[in-house]
Amino acid sequence: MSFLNGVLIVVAVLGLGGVARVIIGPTIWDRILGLNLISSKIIVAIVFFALILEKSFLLDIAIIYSLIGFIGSVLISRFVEKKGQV
Amino acid sequence: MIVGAGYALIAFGLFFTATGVYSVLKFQDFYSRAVITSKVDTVGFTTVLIGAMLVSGANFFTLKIALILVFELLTTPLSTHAIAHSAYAAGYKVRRSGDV
Amino acid sequence: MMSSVDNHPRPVSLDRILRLARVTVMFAIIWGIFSESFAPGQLILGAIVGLVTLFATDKYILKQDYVATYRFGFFRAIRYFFNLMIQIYLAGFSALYRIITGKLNVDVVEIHTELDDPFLISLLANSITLTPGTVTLATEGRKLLVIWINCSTRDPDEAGRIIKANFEDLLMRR
Repeated sequence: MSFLNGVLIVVAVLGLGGVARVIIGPTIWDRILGLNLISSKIIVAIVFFALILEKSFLLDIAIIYSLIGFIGSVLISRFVEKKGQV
Repeated sequence: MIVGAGYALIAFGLFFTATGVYSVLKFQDFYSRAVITSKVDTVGFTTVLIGAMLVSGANFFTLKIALILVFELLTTPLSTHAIAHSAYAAGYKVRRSGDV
Repeated sequence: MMSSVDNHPRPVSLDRILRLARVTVMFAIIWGIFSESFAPGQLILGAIVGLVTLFATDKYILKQDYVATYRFGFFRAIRYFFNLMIQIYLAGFSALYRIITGKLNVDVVEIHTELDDPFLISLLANSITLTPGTVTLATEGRKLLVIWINCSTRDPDEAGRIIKANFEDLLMRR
């Protein structure tokens, strides 16, 4: 097992920490914070997956994922802030 | 040599990220969680991706990772600000007398 | 609201053309990175798409002139970026210290800024969010509400001097 495979496993375990915060988080903002954390872990995981397979088009998925994660967390927090009227 | 330095940077960045996940589970107050986690997570993310750039070498792969890095540096503070502003506008109070 | 066509003046001058050309070159390079080749055809295609995007943004989304909205020199951007990276790493280490010791004193303080350009104010708020122990909550004109994790004073001027550090000076200089 190479170093990069080990990195993927560590990143997956760290993502589970974010999942735990999403599950136990008392308020909705804690859950959005956990979601933010998970999305950054997923971007790192995609980058290392592309590095292992040596396919650079997988990085486009990482770029799209970072866009969607950003728009998603901003939209959910604005939705909660305006109480349903975006 | 450069690849070795990249591995060292990746390990260092993973340590930072692990600290961020530990802190988001440890602290009890929402504001302290938001502030600490956004910082540590940004540092960990930047370090890990710079390590990946060093491992990959000089090609288009590295340039694409740099693009992801710049984009993430621009958007992470914005989304943290959006979450914190939402909590503040909904009336979440700061808990005084720093209890951990 | 967003789709209204506004007819703000667009003066034709050498300075304006140079600025637009610089932005177009940047877009062409980013297009080249995405399509993984710096062949002349790709760069020309990227420049055309960049120009279309630029004029569409200018005409349909922005309230005022594109060049007047984003006045930010290239070399100043690079210097600002390096300063930001140093501050981000300092922030990471100070946050690490706070996680280990668990010393926190969270509070919300209000600071004032001298800047008047909305783009520069949002850039300052962005940098404050990235630097040690602070997150910007809200901005109203020149007032910024900031969460400070290690609150030592509630006086706006004193807190502003500690939080803003040298970002404001760097942004003031054109």
